[in-house]
Amino acid sequence: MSLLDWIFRRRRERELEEEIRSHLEMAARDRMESGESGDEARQAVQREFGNALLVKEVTREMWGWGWAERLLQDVRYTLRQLRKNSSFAALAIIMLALGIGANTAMFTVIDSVLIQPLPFRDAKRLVSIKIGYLDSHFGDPDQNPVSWSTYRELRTRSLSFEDIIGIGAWDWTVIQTPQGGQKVGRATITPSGLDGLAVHPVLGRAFDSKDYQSGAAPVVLLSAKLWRDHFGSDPQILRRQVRIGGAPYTVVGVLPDSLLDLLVLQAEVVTSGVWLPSRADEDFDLAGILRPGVSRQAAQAELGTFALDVCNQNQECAKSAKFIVEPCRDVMTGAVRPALLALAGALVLVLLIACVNVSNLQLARHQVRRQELAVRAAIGAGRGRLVSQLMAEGAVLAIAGTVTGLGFASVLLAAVHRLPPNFIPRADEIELRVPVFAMLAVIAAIATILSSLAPALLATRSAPEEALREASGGSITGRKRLRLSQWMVAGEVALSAVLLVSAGLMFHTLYNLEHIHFGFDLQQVTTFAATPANAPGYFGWLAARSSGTAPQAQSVVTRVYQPVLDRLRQLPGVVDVALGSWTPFDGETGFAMIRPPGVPESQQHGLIAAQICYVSPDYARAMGVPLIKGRMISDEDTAGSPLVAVVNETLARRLAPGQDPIGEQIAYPAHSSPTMKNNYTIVGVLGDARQHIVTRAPDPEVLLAYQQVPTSDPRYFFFASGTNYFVRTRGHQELTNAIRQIFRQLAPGYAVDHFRSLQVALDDATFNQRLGLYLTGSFAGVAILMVLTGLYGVLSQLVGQRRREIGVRMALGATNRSILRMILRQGSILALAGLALGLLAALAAGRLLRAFLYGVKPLDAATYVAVAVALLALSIAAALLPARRASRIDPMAALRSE
Amino acid sequence: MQGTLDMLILQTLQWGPQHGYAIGHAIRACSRDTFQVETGSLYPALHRLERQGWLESEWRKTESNQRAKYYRLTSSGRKQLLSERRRWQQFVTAIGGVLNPAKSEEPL
Repeated sequence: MSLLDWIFRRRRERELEEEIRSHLEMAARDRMESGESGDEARQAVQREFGNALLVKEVTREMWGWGWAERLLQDVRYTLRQLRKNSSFAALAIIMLALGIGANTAMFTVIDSVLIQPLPFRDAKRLVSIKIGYLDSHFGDPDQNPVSWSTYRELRTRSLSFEDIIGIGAWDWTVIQTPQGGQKVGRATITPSGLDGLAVHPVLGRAFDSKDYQSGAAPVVLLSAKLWRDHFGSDPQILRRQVRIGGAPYTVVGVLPDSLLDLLVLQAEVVTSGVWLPSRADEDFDLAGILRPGVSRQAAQAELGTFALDVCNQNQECAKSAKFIVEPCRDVMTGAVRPALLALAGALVLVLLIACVNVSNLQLARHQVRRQELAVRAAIGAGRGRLVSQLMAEGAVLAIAGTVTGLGFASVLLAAVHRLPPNFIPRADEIELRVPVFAMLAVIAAIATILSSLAPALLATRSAPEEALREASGGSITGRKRLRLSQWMVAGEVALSAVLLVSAGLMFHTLYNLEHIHFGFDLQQVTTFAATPANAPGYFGWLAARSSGTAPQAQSVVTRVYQPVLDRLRQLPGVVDVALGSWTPFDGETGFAMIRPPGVPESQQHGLIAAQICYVSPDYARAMGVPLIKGRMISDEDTAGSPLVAVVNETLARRLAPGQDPIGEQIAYPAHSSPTMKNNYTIVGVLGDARQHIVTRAPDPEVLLAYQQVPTSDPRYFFFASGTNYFVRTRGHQELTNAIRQIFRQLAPGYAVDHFRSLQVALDDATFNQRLGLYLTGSFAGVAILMVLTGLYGVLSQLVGQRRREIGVRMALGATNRSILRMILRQGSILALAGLALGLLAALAAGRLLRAFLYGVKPLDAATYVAVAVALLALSIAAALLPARRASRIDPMAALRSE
Repeated sequence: MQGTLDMLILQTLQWGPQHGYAIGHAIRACSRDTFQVETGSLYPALHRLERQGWLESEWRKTESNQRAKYYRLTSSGRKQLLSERRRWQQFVTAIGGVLNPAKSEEPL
């Protein structure tokens, strides 16, 4: 049908009208000419002509757009129907939208993260090569870096790989940007790396062989995000010098961010960073590109023959060494794979249930409408016409549900992008996958349209009165189908019971976590991290140790930390300021073994694992931790004065049960450095403050004075590589800019970041629990919706099928009330059966949740009772509508409709 | 019979443009009242033939000054009429052969 036809449709309609009229008039004139009176002639002509409407309709068919008009009619009729039943329509659309939306989002994530190859050349053959040792004496059981010479050896001699790429010297560092120091990741890459992976610079050039020669001018490649966020995507960056870790480098290019994904080999997630040419004095983690046709196992076996080289010809070590070759993609995504697949499984179930429920709802609605359909069939509506009408209804629902679902999916994906950066690997590659959405939409459409077809066929059986009988109860297949639906509803109740119990436990956990007594103030304390421009870090220490560089004469504490603290203290609104080596809830800790008084130096047992924290004097006041006994570390505890320590109550109890620990001495048992051999005298006891949320009891803790770390001590390198500050304020104060200003003046080049209140730090730490609560909570919400609609649909059908029976009962004297009770009982039986099953399953699920729970047992009676009561109440609410419909059946009408 | 009405309409229009009422009349008259063309078949057929391009239509006045839609054969309509006539001739011959077997046994 052309568009033109459509536009001229009205005119053709008028023309047809006129053509018929002229026919009638001519016929009438002929008759009048042969002597009939006007009225007689007109009546005779009308009779002769027959049904003008029918003639018009049949003629219109010939125009070739009858189907379009019918479709339009059907859609209009459907919309009218759905407007009349807006709650049904809304429910059906919401369910389809939830099913389609959630699944689209989920499978998009799975496709982007687990299935799509990494953005490197031959990504399918890209594997990580790890070396582990069975005997931990030789190294880590899972992963050990290899030396440059081993890397060269493997790369030149192994036949399994087209190329082997080494990633070396991974660490955090500070780069100077126009906005000041920024903490970024840094790593080096071996000469063939960028070519081998076919990673091409976004700007400038990659490293060339000259960059790798010793004595070459130091060059660096920036990651695209770093270039974008901190250099304003300025193309002039090329050949400019930037300072990284205190040393100047020339920027030669900008690399795509995807390369940073490789750092997952180092178990780190880095969003912006810098790449340097590798050096021969570094250790490397390896990635390889398998030759086509070589299996992982073959590569692993072949690498095994190089074990002696890896172990410097040590036979024992070689026996213990094992090579592990895994696809890089799996290494990156291995941690999230089971969770994603489990979620996807649950969501597919949701989609299935949604489809079943929409079809149940459709059937239930047609129980109510079946008389209308039967009447229309009886007065001659063609079967095809009725079927197409009902199919249009299904199609309209499916389309509305799908469109809403697409919107829902985009909202969900936007939420996925707002997850913490290291939550899902490859998160930046996640984009709505249209084929995924299309596939799900088709599935939902088929389900919906088929389900709307069933009542059409039922209502349009060849004999309408037979259809009526079928509908009112005799049909065996109908009963069977209904029984299946009943099981399904019971299953839905079970599923929601599991989800509700899980959500309840998570909620309880979160409540407990929010109301834990941490032993310090969460609200008024802001914390941030400051990293020196030339933070030496672990590699700095290694370099200093191997080169024998003389330690710095003056500690960073007196040069920088003290003046900064003094200035911070003068900021308006600031009450107390302190620094310490760790932020609570960060997950980073400095545990060490300490030797209690009375345990001889040679003895190995009796040592206590305690968290060691270097702090400035106001630490306890700033954090709001009470001093129980003695004194806190003070400004008088300098490098020259006797070494002091403050312990927390837990450690005090362990060190000297029932006695005063003040004046006792503790020490490190380690002898790696002469300065660590010294004894520390306990001068005070602090209240317990929890540094970690997962541990039940506070850990033993030792606070040492920040001035008393000698610059020759290995611990100094960590201390000088960055500390955390704690600022207690009066009320809420926005201090970020003022603090940055102070650092710019007193400590230029420092990267100052990670500003947040301790409350936010806690929220970050409980993110997993909160996400778990949101997920189980929203799943439970969906499940409840499913239960409501499922029960309603099934019971409505049941009432429809038992109409005659109910009529008989009422005719025999059953009251409205007893009928109401009967249907409600039917609903409760389904709900109770599901509930029993669900609570049993929840017992198993609770065990899986155990690791996430805090302060609540998996078998929390209150949660179970609340869930049971809530689900029963909901079920009864859902059953009430069909039950009332049943109780209002007019017995005479019900019996007569046979 | 399928297609017969189409042929009769095309044949009727061979003598010049005509409107629906007259076409119906002409068929009835020519068939000596054998074919009573019902309007429920006539108009759909006219519209179908027009859509197939075998007929064209225009609005004209009749002798009695009545506006009416006149149908006219197109050139492809003329060709169609010829082929329909040929088919009809074959059909009649075939039926004749079945009804009068003796005749068909005669050597050609």
